[in-house]
Amino acid sequence: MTNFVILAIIVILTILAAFVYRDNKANVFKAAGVVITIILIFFVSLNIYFSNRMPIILKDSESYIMNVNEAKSNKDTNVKLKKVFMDLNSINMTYWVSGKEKVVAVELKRNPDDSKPINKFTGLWVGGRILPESSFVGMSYASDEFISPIYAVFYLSDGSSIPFEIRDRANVKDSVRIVSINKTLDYNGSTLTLNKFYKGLNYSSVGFKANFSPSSEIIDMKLLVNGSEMKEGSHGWSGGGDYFTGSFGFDPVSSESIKLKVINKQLNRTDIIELDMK
Amino acid sequence: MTILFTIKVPKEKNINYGMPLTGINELTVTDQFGFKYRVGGGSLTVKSVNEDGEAKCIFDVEPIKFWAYKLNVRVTSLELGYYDGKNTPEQVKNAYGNWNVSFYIDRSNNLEVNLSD
Repeated sequence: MTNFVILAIIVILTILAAFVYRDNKANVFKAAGVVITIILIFFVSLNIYFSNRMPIILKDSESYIMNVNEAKSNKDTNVKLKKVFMDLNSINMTYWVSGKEKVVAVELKRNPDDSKPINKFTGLWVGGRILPESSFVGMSYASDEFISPIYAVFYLSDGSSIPFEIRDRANVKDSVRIVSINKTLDYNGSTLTLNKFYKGLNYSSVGFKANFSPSSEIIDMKLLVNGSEMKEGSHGWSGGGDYFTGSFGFDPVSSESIKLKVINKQLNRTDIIELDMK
Repeated sequence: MTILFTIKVPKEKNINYGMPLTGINELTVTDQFGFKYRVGGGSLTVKSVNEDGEAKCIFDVEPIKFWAYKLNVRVTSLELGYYDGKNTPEQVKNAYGNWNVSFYIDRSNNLEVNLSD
């Protein structure tokens, strides 16, 4: 919301400036200067606006965005962590970089000294010498618990790194949950084991293990929330032969009463599994 | 177009090999105007490794434009690990930085080939 206000103020100021210059019957250079400034301000504010936006689906979850605004510097380079949205097994961050070096990668770690990260985002080239460049990075990771504090390490193009400690100050931990399902569905020898239900702020998903490839032509999974059906959003798995693991992804759910509806299209069989949310 | 390169990693505990990551932006090839060329297939091929652990590798880049006379190859992420010569290499960690090489292209040979074709 504050972004809108800032954007509106900038637009009004530029229009005012344009009027002032017009009344003074400015010469060509002045007019050109005004046009260039307006265009520059427009693009800079667009950049700020879009890079500060978090891809959050549920409106209620926006209150969990933390305004960290923590700046750290290494030699001539400043990295400012602006906003952080922690979720179950995922984290979204907006940040600014200014100075000599660029940010080339971001790694997520459990401990700042770990050599192996939980996840990494490589191939970045973010930074500006004069104006800071803002950017967004979102990463997910596999974990059976909510991790806080988590460490985001920004790597610079000179080989140095800047670590940030991120703590769950918005109390996300109490709003997310991992529910055990541990239910095996037997389809004439083909088994589909539903392990866990992940109730995040920005997604929900069902983790599974199967001995066949559970493509959407065979398995159709739905969530029953307060009597209404919710379709599956994404569907991903890896593996081969007779061992597949993956997850069925859904939009976030705020309700506590959730049932799973598993349809096997080939066998025309429907199973309903009630989740014990406690 | 194919680029041949060698890579040698300083000897460290548990680390004897290094390879650039080949995502969309980790290994970039640009010409003098900043025009970006895709790295074909995203794969590096190791041709040989000598006793010092120096690896000779190649990678393919889409055909360069007629205006290009200078190329800049930039690597920002290296995967470091241990390779015992038998199994698949064990990845230990990533190293980040800015490894940059610029070079001019001699097009005279290319031109001859094109004319004879």
